[in-house]
Amino acid sequence: MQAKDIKKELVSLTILFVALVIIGKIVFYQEAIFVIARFIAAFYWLLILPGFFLMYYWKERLGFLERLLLGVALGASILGISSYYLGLLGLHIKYHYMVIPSVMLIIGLAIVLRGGSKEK
Amino acid sequence: MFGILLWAGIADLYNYKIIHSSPWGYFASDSVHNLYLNQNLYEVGNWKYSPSYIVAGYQDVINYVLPVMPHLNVNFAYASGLQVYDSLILLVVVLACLAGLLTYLIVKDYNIYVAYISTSLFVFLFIGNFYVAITWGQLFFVAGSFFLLASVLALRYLHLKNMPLVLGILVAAIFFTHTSEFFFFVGFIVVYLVLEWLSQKKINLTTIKKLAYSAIIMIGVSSYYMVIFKNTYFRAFGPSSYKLFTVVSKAGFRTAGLSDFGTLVIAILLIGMALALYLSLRQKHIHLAVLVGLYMLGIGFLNFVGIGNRAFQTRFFWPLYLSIFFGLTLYQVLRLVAKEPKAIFVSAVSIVLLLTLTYAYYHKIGSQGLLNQYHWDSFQWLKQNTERQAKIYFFYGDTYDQNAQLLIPARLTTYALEDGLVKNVQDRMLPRKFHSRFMLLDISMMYRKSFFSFGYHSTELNITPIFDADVCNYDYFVLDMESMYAPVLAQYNAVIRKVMLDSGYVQEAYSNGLVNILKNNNPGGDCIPKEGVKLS
Repeated sequence: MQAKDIKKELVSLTILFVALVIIGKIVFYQEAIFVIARFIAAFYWLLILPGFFLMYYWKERLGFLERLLLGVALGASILGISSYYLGLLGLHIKYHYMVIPSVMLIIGLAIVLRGGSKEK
Repeated sequence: MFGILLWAGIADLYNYKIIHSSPWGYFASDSVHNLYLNQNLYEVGNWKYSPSYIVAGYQDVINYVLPVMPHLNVNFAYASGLQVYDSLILLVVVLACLAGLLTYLIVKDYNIYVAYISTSLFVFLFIGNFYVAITWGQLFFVAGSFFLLASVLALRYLHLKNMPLVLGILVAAIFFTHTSEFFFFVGFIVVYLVLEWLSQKKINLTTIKKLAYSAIIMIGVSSYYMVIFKNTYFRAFGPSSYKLFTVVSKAGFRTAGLSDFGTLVIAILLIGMALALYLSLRQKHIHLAVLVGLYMLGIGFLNFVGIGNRAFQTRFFWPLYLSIFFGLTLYQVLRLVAKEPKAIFVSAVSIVLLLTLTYAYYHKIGSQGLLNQYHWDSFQWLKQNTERQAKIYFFYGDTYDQNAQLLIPARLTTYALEDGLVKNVQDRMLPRKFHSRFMLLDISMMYRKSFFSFGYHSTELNITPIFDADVCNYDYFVLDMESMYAPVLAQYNAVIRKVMLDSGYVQEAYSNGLVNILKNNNPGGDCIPKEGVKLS
């Protein structure tokens, strides 16, 4: 059941990605599609995926869109704040886009594997 | 809906492209401040110190500018491969669109049909005076408002296990992004708790405990920056800078107002407010979505009690905050037509409304903004070809009164003030000293003595940013050779150029058809005679 659920949600995220690329191509019709796809991929990598998996904890209580949008805001908060502090600690910001989402994803995947909140 | 909002917000502003050879969408100094600070972060790698060229050359001035938005953008620039200037406005518009979706979710909790219709008002974010938030560079405000709306949604779900942790992080993000929104949100929570107490006739201790947990998280995350904020921004622009209970006019601050919605929409909004209040009183409960709308409407009018710019900024997001009232009125009208309207019908109506409002109100900007290719290229040349400590002097340029762009070369910069230039032309004189402004952006210039102890270079430095500058002390001169607005000042620039080149101390270093850059090989020498030159 758990695997089926997560598979369904990953399919939804994939469909959303394709839809965003199409919307992006309509809005920026003079731009090459791979530039648009790369920007959306960056958006997915930095905010959508980490936030979405972190919010998976509340899967039983919140709908897909609620978790997606709160997840983006949560991902943006963690990325922005931790990037500030990591920079102060001496790690150049050019590495942050790899490090911070990876850590968030690992924590998020742990939440997914544990099945999220048992609260109904 | 997201697609239409994105199109309205960025398509024309970015000329239907993402990658540009020079910045698009920057229309005021505030935008460009964001740009060069972001660029500095991109290159230096951290937010520890202010760029020395904005603080009179000091290397140890603590960077107090709110850090989350620049860090988000620079991470985006690295991850997407875009230039910092291309990713910045794009990211902010995306955040504004996402703020719209968050509003939809908040209103959906009130009534899904009202939420459908409410979305059609969102397009006003990118119309007329509301759009100024993006084009004139209130970028931190937009991002802060995005986090505020996310916090309101998290507050709605605060009863869920561990949700206070999320709320704490989101509220910390507001604080790090645009602090006035943080104070407004704290005020909102107080109002929310008081109304809950009044409606339930008892204090909900569980909610208060959860909020206390969120507050601890928020303070823990923000404490380091809070110390900086208190000793810099709060010191300069805190409560002492406000004259409470006085009316602040919008002079000098371009903002939006209810009138920007047009008469019909205002009428719909007012009816919606009355309806929402009536329904809340009848149910003896005010929903979060209604409360946000009324509260943020009130915040937008705080200029009448002395809170000027922060109140004016809030109005830029009224198309989101007030959308519930728009949706509520029109939903009641729909119910007159069909007592139980179907979801598909209401969605169709909302799409038609969105398209109608977009068609009726949307206008293209049709301009690149402040920074054209010629100026951008000359700024890049200065950045890449001059010594880091070089002092640069800018003579007249059409858009240089939006002076933040003069810091893009990342050098100590002074520029000629237009009033002095006009007087010189009228007097037919080319003096050696010009009425000038030195670009000093941080008025306190705080540095750290210990963790809690700070010093201020401003108290050690005897400098007034506006002064009569001996231009021959500078290393480089920038002169625009053409002007749309003041051709006579461009001609005056040509005269300055000739006199300087004739001195033998100055040589042409760069030219691109609009901008001419001269190098002074003998700073302190007589690039212009001491007594000046009388023009014939």
